[in-house]
Amino acid sequence: MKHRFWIILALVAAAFHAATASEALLNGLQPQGFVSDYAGSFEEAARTNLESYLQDVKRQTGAEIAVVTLKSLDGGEINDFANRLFAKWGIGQKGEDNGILLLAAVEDRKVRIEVGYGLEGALPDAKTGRILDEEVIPLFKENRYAEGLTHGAVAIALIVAQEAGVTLTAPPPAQISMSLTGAPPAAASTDTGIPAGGIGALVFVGVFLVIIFLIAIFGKKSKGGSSGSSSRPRSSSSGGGSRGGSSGGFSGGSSGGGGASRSW
Amino acid sequence: MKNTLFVVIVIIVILVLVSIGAYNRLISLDENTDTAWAQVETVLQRRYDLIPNLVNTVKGYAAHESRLFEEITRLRSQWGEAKTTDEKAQTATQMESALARLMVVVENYPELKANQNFMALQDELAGTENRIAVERRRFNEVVRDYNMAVRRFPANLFARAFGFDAKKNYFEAVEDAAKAPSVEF
Repeated sequence: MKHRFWIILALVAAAFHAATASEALLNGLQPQGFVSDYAGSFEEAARTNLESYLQDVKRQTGAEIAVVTLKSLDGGEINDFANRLFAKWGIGQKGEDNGILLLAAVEDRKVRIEVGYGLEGALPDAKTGRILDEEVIPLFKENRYAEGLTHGAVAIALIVAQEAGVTLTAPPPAQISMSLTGAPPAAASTDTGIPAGGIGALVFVGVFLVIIFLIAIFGKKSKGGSSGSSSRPRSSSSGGGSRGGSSGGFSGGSSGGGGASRSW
Repeated sequence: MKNTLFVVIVIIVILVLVSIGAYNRLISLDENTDTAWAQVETVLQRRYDLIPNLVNTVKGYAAHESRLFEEITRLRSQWGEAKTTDEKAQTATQMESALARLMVVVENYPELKANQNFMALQDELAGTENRIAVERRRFNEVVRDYNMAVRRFPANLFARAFGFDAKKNYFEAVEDAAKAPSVEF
């Protein structure tokens, strides 16, 4: 009997320690940009590529996509951790809540996409699950973490752009399958060979202007509401003090646990 | 004589100001718990909207788990009848464990698990349960703030005088819902 008491005490202490360790980890995390590579999974070139792509996505659609790698959650649970990190950093624009967090804990072998309130219509849970199954997990199984995350981020960006009615001008840093977005990848719009001749240049400039024009119109229009199916009331009053806030490059968006998680 | 009158008036003014401050603070904390609970109900409603679709899909493959389906249907109608916050929390907790058992039963039907429609539903259910966990945590955080405020001195004196509840109940999670039940031989 006495033994059991000590075992239980030890278990409780271990659980408590785990909770506080992951809490401490969370409190110490500061965004390093759109890509925060704490696990060191990215080569420098791949990281800057993805970073500038995500900056373009933000400029054209307003959506903030954060990619975060960690070695471990220090005993934390990924769903809970992702939601708290999302709230702490305030991913997405305040009021729009158009942020996405793609979080991988490499040694825990856990990955999650957490979706801000404003994008739950464009990215329902089942779709985020499919992105993980089709784009991220197959590469993770070969230990290609940076590539898996890049594929996942591009898939998310294309869907977000589609929802916003925007064609992304930046070439995606990875080619993803078309089945997820139902539209061809956006690369074709600018990166095709531009003829050097006068007429070719004129056509190119014309197309470019039309694209800019369309972005100017639709980009503004779609900002109003992309809530889609989920009609949840967004309480802007900060209740427990755990939501809201922003730090680093993010703009104070919040999420409510939408998305999907996988392990591999 | 004049001096004592002055002191008494100052003390009364201070008391009135303090009680106004305490009252307003309690009101906003109380309001926060209501807002947080509304959020909890929104995500619980989402769960109940998902259930018919889920049950119908599972039924097609696992027809003879009928007792579990009946229980889920019964709990779903109980949710519609529940009025108070505590009643709702209680049915929600029971539903959570029934759904957890359903997802364990599903493990026995490989064809169902491979069904595309079911895989999507499984993600929707997991996402919904996670939303509930998030809103539950936020609700419990504001309830904790409220409970601390009404029990602390000196606000507790005002709280009683103004008729605030002494303590609000937390919305507890099912202990074992997330874990698979152990197999007994």
